Amino acid sequence: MSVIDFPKNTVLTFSEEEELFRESVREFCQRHIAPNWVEVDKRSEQNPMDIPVDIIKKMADQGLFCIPCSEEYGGQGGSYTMATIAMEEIAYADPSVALAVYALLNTGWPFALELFGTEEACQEIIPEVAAGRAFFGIASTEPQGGSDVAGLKTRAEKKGDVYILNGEKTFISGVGEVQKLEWGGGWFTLARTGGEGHKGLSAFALLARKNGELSDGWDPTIYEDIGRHGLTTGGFRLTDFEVDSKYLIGEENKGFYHVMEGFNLARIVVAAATIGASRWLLEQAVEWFRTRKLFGRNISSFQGVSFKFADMYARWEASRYFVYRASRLADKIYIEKDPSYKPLDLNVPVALAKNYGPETCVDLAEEVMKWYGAYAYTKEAPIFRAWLGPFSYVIGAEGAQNIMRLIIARDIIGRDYLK
Amino acid sequence: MKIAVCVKEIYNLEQVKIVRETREPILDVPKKLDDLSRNALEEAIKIREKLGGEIVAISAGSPELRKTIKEALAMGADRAAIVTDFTESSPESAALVLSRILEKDSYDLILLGDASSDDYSGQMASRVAETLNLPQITFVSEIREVSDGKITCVRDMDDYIEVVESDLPCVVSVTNEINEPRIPALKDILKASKKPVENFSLQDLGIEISRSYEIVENLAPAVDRKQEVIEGEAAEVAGKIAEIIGREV
Amino acid sequence: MKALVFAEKADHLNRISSKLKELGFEVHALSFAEVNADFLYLAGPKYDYASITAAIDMLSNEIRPDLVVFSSTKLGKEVSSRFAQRKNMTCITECLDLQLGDSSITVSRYSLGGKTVTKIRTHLPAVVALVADAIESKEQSFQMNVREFQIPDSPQIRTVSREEKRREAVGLKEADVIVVVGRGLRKEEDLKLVKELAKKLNAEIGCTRPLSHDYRWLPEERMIGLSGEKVSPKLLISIGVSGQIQHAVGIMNSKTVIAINTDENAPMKEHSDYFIVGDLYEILPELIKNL
Ligand SMILES: Cc1cc2nc3c(=O)[nH]c(=O)nc-3n(C[C@H](O)[C@H](O)[C@H](O)COP(=O)(O)OP(=O)(O)OC[C@H]3O[C@@H](n4cnc5c(N)ncnc54)[C@H](O)[C@@H]3O)c2cc1C
Ligand SMILES: Cc1cc2nc3c(=O)[nH]c(=O)nc-3n(C[C@H](O)[C@H](O)[C@H](O)COP(=O)(O)OP(=O)(O)OC[C@H]3O[C@@H](n4cnc5c(N)ncnc54)[C@H](O)[C@@H]3O)c2cc1C
Repeated sequence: MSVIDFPKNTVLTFSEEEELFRESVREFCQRHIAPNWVEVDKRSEQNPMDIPVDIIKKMADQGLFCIPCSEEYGGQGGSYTMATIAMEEIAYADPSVALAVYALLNTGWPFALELFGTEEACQEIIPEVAAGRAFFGIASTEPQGGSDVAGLKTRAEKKGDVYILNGEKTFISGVGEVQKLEWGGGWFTLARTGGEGHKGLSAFALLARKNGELSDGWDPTIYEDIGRHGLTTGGFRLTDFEVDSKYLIGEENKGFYHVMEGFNLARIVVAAATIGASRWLLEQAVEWFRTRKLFGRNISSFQGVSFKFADMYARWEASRYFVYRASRLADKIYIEKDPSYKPLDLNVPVALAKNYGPETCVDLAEEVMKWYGAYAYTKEAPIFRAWLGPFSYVIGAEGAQNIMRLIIARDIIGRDYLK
Repeated sequence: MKIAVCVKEIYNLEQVKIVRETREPILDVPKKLDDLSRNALEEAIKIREKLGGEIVAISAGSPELRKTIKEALAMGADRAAIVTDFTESSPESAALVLSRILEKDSYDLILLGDASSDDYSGQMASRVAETLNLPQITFVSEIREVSDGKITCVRDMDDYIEVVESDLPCVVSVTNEINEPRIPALKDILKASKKPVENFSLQDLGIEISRSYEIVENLAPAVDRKQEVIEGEAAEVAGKIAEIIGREV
Repeated sequence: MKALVFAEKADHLNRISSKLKELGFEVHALSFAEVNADFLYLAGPKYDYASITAAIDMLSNEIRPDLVVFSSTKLGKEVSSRFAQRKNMTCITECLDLQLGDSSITVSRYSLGGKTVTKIRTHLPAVVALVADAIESKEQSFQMNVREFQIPDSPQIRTVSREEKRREAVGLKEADVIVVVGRGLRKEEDLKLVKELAKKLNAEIGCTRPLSHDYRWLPEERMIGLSGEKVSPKLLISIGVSGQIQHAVGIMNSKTVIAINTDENAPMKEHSDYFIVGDLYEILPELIKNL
């Protein structure tokens, strides 16, 4: 039963196809995800390598990965807004956001690969990702800090037709999945081919495993996360890891720019996932308000409760505007290729969405837990799962919140005035 | 094989809320394709997968049907023929409209749901079959075999299971249990917009609808339960239940 | 005023006849068995819609009834609507009651998937299909003119085989206590627990649709709800049932309802007098001990 329906809206509007698609995803999720998400989160908490491969396969069959990628690479040929809709609905059905993050990484990053990568790499990787047989995410973070992308240390030396990579990546989503899925997979990654700073970086499609075969020089470890258990996080060390030059993404030493465009795209769907989880949280709250009575009245009759709820609801709606504004803009730039819009136009809209959506979700989860009281503090109540999962996006996955603020401030106030 | 599937748009019942004071339903909710219509369409698609052919989705409904019918096209119907100024939904008038659309073409098989999940009236197969002077096989839980001229089905009746066969053309209504309808993927949805939809008006079909009955009221049944919530340790709760049972029996 | 009735089940026919008689109709019944009627047309059993429709058509041409009534079984719905279409008449199926007005009738039936009950008035002559179990009626006396009747054999489809469903005699309708079990039950073996409880309470077991139709753990005749039985026990204990409206309409006439559910927000709460938030696997063993 949907408790919170989307308000009638003349600004945030969707086409018939988009609405139909939302319904289809919602129905798929009600059938296959909503009844299982708590179980998935619990199981993978016990054992992170207990990856929900069966659900991943079903999602692939339903066409929920590589949504904006072209059909010739096995993608769905959809728009970026379609992808955004899907992620919102998947996270509504799994508010720990594990499955939404699986789907969004495997949508945003294959699409970035399609934008900048070689024909050969796209032909090889995207169809496997779309079919749920391979994972393809992002590996940029290193032990010395994720926010400082320009300062990363992994090196790539060109030797003939191959690059030899040495270094370490940490807090990388999908380290378990690439080992467990049928085909394997890897990441859009960055390594230093030139000098210091952002102009010395190149992007690669790094395949840790392909055709079921592990690559040499790839040494993984899996972390125990506090939430979002259905998707693994881990790290890996690269020791003389060979990357064929067909896997170079875009131009040498331009990797920083490519990855920033990729981040913009990925951040839209990240924010989309958090507004989906927020809708689930709002519904938990409303249902509770309608049943819980204290001092002989519904707890929502206390304005201390209902006003806070109203504020949170406002933030949720605002987040949705940010998210879909960004996705529509992405469509103009990358799908319709309308020359009056440039990739840089996305920076602030995306930062607004990624700054606001995750924070709203986490704040809301905290409020909902307070409204529920002690029950919410037991593991029987699932609400904390919708708190700890989305929290990864405030912390930093796909860019820390402060980095979003930095982007907004830099573009609005002016780079020179922040120095 | 040319198959017509009669599909129905209904209110998204999950979203229909009831005004607590008056017990009236609030019908300002979007419409969707009925579940049982989707069962019928799914069967049609399975037959087409085996024998090839064409599936035409046929429906009478409100102007919103122009959108709802896309669900059928996305699921797999090849084209649609619809009436969108039909708002009086008595079974006899619906049957009349559907039959008129069906008469415009010739079909080997006409599939429908055994009822729709809003009204649960279950008349459409019989009425359409009677109008078109065709045999009918209702409440079908399995289609065993279809060939060019013949269909064999299992019927799930109240007290018996029956295997029947009929020559084609024939009208077949299916149960909710017959299959799990596919959910259209994005690619199917994108294709659906390009499929042809023929849109008739009642006037085109030469139909005038007259109302044969009157709705006196339509209210949610009054439920007046105590709704006392009991929580606690299993043993303690069980004690309380035993006490209530003792009182009530 | 005359009514023509057909039902393939004798008990349905008797209930409906009594109701019609109570309303003042002269009751003409086409039946496969001896039943109460003013005019009984006794025929050998036939289950194909075409032959029965033809028979009703013949009888109605002869009798000129004001109302043609069927039992709202699957066969009854199929035949009533085929007949109504032949006569270009209104037909209302799944009727829960029947009232007679001034050359009109008023019936009630669920609509919007069970969310509401619609009262519908239509002028006579008309065709209705009544949910026999929902019809309340007192015993009546009838003229009992009996006539043998030959249903013309005119099937339009061929019956290859017919197999009676194996039916347990289920006393849900008459039961004072009913234990209803839903998908909260994890496996078929766990029915043991429910059976044990039912035995202690001398109760009948009912279930939701997934258990009877999807998992087939219990026979169909134990399903309660819109498309199953409507029950009215003194006490109904509902275990692991979410309380979707299609199920809930079947239990509305129960005097007291106790529900056990892990989900405190389950819609079942609205339909319960006592709503126990808890795990059936923890509570049932304790409860059985307590009884
Ligand atoms: C569950 C999870 C999954 C992840 N998956 C991936 C993945 O798949 N691929 C990947 O590459 N990375 C991944 N990450 C890592 C993520 O990208 C980093 O956490 C993020 O970039 C922040 O880096 P850091 O954690 O090293 O924190 P740091 O960069 O060390 O930042 C620490 C703190 O300093 C603040 N800060 C940093 N710079 C500034 C500044 N200039 N101004 C103001 N404040 C600043 C940050 O906001 C933060 O509060 C994941 C992280 C998590 C939690
Ligand atoms: C046209 C139509 C007609 C229908 N007619 C009927 C009908 O006549 N009868 C009918 O029943 N259904 C009918 N249905 C189906 C109905 O809509 C529901 O799907 C069905 O009633 C749900 O059954 P359930 O409550 O057993 O399952 P669920 O909805 O899955 O509910 C299971 C419940 O068990 C609870 N639970 C889980 N574990 C435990 C535990 N350990 N302890 C306690 N509780 C637990 C859960 O919280 C949940 O609330 C019909 C549907 C349609 C579309």
